[in-house]
Amino acid sequence: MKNTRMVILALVVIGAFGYLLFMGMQEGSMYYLEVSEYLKKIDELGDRKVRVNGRVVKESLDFDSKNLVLRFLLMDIKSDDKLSVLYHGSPPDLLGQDGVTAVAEGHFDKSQRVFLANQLLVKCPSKYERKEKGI
Amino acid sequence: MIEAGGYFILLSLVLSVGIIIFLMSGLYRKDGRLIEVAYRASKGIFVLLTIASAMMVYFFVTDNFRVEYVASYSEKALPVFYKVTGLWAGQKGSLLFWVWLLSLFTVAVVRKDEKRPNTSYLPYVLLVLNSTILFFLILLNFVTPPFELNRVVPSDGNGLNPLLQNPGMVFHPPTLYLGYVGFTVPFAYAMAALITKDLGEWWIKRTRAWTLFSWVFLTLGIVFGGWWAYRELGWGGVWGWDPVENSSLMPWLTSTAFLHSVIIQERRGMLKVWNIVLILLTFSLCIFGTFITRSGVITSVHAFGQSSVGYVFLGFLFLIVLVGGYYLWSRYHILKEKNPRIESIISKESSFLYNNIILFGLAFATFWGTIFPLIVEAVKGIKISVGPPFFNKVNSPLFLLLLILMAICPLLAWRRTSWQSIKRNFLMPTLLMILSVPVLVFLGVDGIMPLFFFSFCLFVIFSLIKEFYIGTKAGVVHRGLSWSQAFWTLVSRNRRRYGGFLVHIGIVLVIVGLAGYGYFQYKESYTLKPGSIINVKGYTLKYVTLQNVRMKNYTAVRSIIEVSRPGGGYLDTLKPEKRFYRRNEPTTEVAIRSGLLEDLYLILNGWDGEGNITLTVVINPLITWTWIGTAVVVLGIIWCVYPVGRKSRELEILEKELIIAFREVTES
Repeated sequence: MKNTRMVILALVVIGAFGYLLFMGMQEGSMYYLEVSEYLKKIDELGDRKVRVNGRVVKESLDFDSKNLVLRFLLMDIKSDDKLSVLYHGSPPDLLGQDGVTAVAEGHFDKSQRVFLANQLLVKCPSKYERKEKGI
Repeated sequence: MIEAGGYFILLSLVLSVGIIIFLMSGLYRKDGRLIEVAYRASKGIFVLLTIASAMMVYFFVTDNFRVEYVASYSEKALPVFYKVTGLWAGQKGSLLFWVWLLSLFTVAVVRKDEKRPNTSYLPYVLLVLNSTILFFLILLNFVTPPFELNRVVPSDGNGLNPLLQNPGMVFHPPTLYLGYVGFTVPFAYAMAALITKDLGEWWIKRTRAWTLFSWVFLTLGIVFGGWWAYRELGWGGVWGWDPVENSSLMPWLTSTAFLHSVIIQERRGMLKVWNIVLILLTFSLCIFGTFITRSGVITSVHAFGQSSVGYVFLGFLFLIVLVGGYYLWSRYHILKEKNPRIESIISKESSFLYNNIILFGLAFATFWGTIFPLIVEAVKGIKISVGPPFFNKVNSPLFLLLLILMAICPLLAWRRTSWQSIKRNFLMPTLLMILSVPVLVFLGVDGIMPLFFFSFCLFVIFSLIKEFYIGTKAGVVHRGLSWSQAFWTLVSRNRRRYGGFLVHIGIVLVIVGLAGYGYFQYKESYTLKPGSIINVKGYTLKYVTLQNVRMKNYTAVRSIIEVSRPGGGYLDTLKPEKRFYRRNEPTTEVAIRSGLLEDLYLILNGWDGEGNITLTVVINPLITWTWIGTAVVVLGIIWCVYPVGRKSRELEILEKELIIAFREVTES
């Protein structure tokens, strides 16, 4: 009797926890894609939120400091595919450094033909180590 | 000269292998002298590694760029302060620092315990500690030698990443490592208990101070990390649920569970298996965290050097789980003997059990969110990313439940609690909590979750105050002490209990700070002309001018912002700036005016030729309480373990009690 009660209690707890995890995943997980992968799936994904990883094209950086609008091209690491990104905010530190890769989180805006990013994560060539390895 | 460093590390490796041989043969032949040699050799390793670490620091301070590691993480113009921190700025140095700490802890353990009367367990403890040391020494000798030379000696070093040039660099990595490394000690004792089949409470009692020590440093390491991110990274936050952050939180959660569940084993002899599992898990998660940070297998903003070392850690992790799992399985029947059952679902024991379930749930959810991308990639071949919304959604309610338990637990009795005592103990705190809700709403707390968080924080505080009050009153009424005497006797006689309560108060303050900033942060960007004025949330900000500044190893563009009250009362002048280090890439240096109620946090985003700037204004309510709360946590832990003067004070109290008893006898 006491055991069945414990089992039911445990099942309820695990069930509630599982439900919480499931709901969390619905809200918090998204695709993480390379630029070329994203461009292939762009129609399929519609306006779903994704993260796109690519190299920041340094020459394309254009920051409008009055309206705090940043535009740049995100290029695929391996190919020449490019994605045009628009970000409301100022550029994160180290964005314009050589060889910087960035992850843009957001969705594709069909009317403007641009990727609207709500978050930019810069991955700097870590701790300046990369150059050393070339020697 | 430099090569000597490598030789010291090689020699340590030889000693470490020797220790294992001597311990094994000493245990096999039951020869105490061989084991004695192993004890001595462990001190030798510490001496050698101390010299090697000191050499590395010396090479940093003297700009010896022949050492490849020094050249990669330092430069001539770097302030000496940061040159010293170079020891842990990169992977090779961190591993050296790690193993040095471990050898120091090993010496501390051996020195303290070898004088005890019965030390049959000690060879096994040393065996486990030394095997861990050996693992790191293999890495340092064959995978990432820290004293590797540059073939071409550069005229200047590469410099330290500007983001690391912050006082946080002095506090965050060492405290975190002290925590990570410290947990090796309770792990080693637990393994020794398993191997020797002596599975009583001794290993828990003997490692209690180590567990608390490691826990408090892990806590400090995590908080310093948040403090650093807050001041340096310039996004206005302290925690982002990044994989690297999560990997320090997971062992914190399991070790917090361990701290609580060992109390049950000490008091009631329950949860023996669970305690072993928790300490194995905590140590494994420390190694797992190192794997995550060093392998770069999960995308993280903390871009550590990606290298194969991470996978060596993964192998080590498998070894730990395999060996630990085997011994746990083969000793399971012994652990299961004489295990009393929990009698009531409303008792102190069961509330500790719920606390453990929730902490474990938190650790599991964090683990799940961290590694889910890996699983999906392995199974389906697509990459996904799990962001902060997942962790906030899942972990916030769990933290809230934990907070509720923290309020309830001290009011419950051991074994079972009668409804009457529940009514008696809960009435006041519950009433006060309910009364606080309208006050909180009036103060501007809107939304269900923040209301829950703040009101239960108050509940915990009320119930703890009640605990202190009842205990003190008992001393006053029953023993005729004055209030201050009674209070002092209470807290100093039962240090673990009241130190623990102080830790709880600290944790509540940390939660107050996190809830304040998490739910009520204000953030807005403005474009300003020189001389222009804006009013933001009770502040008047005047942008005065823009300056160019030249410092030793960077130049900066600095904005001068005058802060005053809307009425005109001057408060402060804040100077958010952008710095340009050698590579000419700007890094943000925020300016913060901290207060008990809120922080005003200014970020200079950019400027143009006419001196117009874009400024982001962030207001973080209550965040300061997170830092204050952490200090209270540290005080609480110190109160729990601080040994000096304890004996004499206890004698003093005993004396007083004898006098009282004497009086009572003579009077009657």
